[in-house]
Amino acid sequence: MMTRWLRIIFPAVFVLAVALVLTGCGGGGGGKGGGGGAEEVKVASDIAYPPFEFNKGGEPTGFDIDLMNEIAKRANLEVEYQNVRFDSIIQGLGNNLYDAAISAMTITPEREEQIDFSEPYFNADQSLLVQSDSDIKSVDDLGDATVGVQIGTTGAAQAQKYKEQGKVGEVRTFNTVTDAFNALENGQVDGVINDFPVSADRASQSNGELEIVQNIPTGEQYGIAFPKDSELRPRVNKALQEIKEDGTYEKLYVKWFDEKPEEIP
Amino acid sequence: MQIEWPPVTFNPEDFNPRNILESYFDVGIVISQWDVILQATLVTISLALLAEVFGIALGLILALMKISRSRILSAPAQVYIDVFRGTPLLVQITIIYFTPASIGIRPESLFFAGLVALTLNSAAYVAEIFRAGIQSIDKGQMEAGRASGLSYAQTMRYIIVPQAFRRVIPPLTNEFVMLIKDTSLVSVIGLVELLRAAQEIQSQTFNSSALIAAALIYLAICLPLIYLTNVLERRLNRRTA
Repeated sequence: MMTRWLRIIFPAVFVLAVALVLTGCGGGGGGKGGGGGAEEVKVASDIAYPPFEFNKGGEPTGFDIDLMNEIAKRANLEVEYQNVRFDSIIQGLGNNLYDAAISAMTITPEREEQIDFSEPYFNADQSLLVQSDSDIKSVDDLGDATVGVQIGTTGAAQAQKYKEQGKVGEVRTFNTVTDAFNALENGQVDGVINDFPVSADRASQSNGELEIVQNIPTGEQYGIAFPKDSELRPRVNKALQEIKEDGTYEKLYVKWFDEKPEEIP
Repeated sequence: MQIEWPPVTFNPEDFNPRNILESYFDVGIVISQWDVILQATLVTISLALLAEVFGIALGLILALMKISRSRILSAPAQVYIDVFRGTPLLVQITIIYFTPASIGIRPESLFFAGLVALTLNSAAYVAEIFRAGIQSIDKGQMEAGRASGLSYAQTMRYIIVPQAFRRVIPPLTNEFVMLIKDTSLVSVIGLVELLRAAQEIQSQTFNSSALIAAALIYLAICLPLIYLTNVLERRLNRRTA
């Protein structure tokens, strides 16, 4: 009796599954839609990095997102954001999985060997974030401490450099910066080395539990990442230049950081 | 729910065999980081071995509790097994590592936190394996044992469980293979085991060769175990056939 039902159910489920995939059930994403001739581009980002990119109400938002949307308006592009792990972005671009990536990514010579960057769009520094009641007041106090970082970031590279200089005991890498921050709050790491604006954002939300004790000026700048020889890059650069010159950049900066930029990159 | 269509596009102009060799099979990178990889492999193996040993011990206890006629024993065992089999291991690892600080306990060692999570998880699966093994023993064995004057506990200990042990070895070895691969999940709390070591090398060199090396190492650990399972199954069938 039951085997007769099973013999009907199994093939039925299989056929249903195949049908679902073939008809691209639920919205047929990658089709050639898009209104009015705007070119569709896939932009990758590690959308868990406030205030540059984070999810609010199910939609990506943040400084980077706003900036990219502005660029898209001027360059006649339609952006589809893809949430990816930060350390997979470079390889993803190398394999043409997406057309560009904006993710508070620092321009470095090592990265430039793999991908192309746009003109810089943000001046950033690293910082050391600790618990407010910690004895650590600067990088020199770290000694044997354990430092948390996000894997694949310049913060990770900076911490690694400190470790080789003997300034840090152990460097622990996490998949997302939030994991690193959580570990700091739980006392599982003694400090987090990460981009200043992001750590500042976390500190301000921590009810005084966490504080930045040192700004590590590295003079690093963020850029939008493209696969090598991308024809999208010059168009984005042109739009970016317009944004810097016509005051939009300053407006965006004030919106997200509550103060005017010291200098437009 | 959105499914991209078409799911795959063909781009023959992107085909580049040299790039594949360079990015996935760069032996130089793997050799230069050999000590890191070896150290991480040791972490993975010891994590898996310890979790399996403790998991088997706990799992056997749970199995006996579950089949007990006393509700005080069987109910908690049932709940434990359901919870740990029904939730993702990744969630268990994250909760076990990140929550205790707020109840006053702090795991000082990533290895220990990972070991606890893997043991608790593994015990649930092992318990089911043991339960099935024990219950597959002919009821006549228990009857004969009781009839010979042995208590329930004694029959279990000297007659039932030893027979069940032989039967559960193939599924247990299977579970061990899964456990070895599951150790890679502990990377999410920052423990440098094989996968995490490979990922860090990948992010520093922008090259995936370390990941391929890690995959090969996992294979080198698991394949002998899988063949061992086959050999054991054949041996056991010979005995009972």
